[in-house]
Amino acid sequence: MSAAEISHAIQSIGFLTYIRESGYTYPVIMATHLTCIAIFGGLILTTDLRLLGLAFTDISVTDFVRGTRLWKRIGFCIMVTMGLLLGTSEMDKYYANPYFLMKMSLIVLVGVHAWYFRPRVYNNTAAIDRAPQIPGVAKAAAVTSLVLWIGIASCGRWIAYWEPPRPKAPAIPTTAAIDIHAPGMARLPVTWIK
Amino acid sequence: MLIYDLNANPLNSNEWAFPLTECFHITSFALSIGTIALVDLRLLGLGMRHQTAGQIVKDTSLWTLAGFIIVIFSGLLIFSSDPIHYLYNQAFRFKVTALTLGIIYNYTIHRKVALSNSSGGTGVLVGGISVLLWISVVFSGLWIAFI
Repeated sequence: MSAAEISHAIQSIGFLTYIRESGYTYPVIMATHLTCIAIFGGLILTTDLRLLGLAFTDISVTDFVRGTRLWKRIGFCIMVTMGLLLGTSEMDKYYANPYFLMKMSLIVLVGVHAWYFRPRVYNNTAAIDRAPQIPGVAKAAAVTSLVLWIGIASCGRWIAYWEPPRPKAPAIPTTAAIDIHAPGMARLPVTWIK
Repeated sequence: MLIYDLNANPLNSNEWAFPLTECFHITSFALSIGTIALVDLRLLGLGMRHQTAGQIVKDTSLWTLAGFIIVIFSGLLIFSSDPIHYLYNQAFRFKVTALTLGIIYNYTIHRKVALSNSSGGTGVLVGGISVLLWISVVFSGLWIAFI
């Protein structure tokens, strides 16, 4: 089955069709998704600022990461759930959308980011606090996190602005290309009959 | 002043301008609301328990303000792209009201209660109202597109 057929099949699942055609449900799901960007995206942003040493320098990295960890995870779960509902309910429109595909790729990269930096930074905050200067790996984690998450939010916003390429309309023949002479008719210069 | 040639506004004529402005709007409200959420988490007793609310509010103030400045600036730009439409949009009017209330609340009651490190009931009430206010701003912001 082609991607188009699979997308249409996914989109046609009962409750997803309901979400897509609903009056209030779809906006509420999207607004929840957006609120998660505000609150939990904000927590991620501030953690990155702390890891870069640009803010909250009087709070230890350990306290900061530990204090926000639970809510970042809860927020991530809600965001992903809402995102899945949003994406699958409109799969027909999204599967070919390059911004949607890029957003999904960036989310995969976030997983890679977590896999790589969690043992070195996020579970290693005591060592970061002991170090005289914030180690390079922590800053690298923060910068890549910023780039990835701002990229995800931007791609998410841009999804709505992509239009699928439409088939070109057939060319309208010009008058010179239309032959108005019936078979056997004399080809005389055209004169207007008054 | 609200009636002018809308095509002269680059947000309407340039392909990238409007989405880019919206991205600035989104990132800056993530910064503002995120830093306010940090204070609220502490006031609600749900996180950052090793710090006092006063300490968190002092640390976040500058960033919240920076976020507000960019959010309002980008918001005004977006508004300028279709002023009459937004003015007549009920969700937009609600959003601006909630935003104004939120900003005033943030710099008066919220700040005072956070700086006084009051525990228990007051903190929960003030933090809870703050969370609800800002969530309503985000919700109504999205609803602009749906009415």
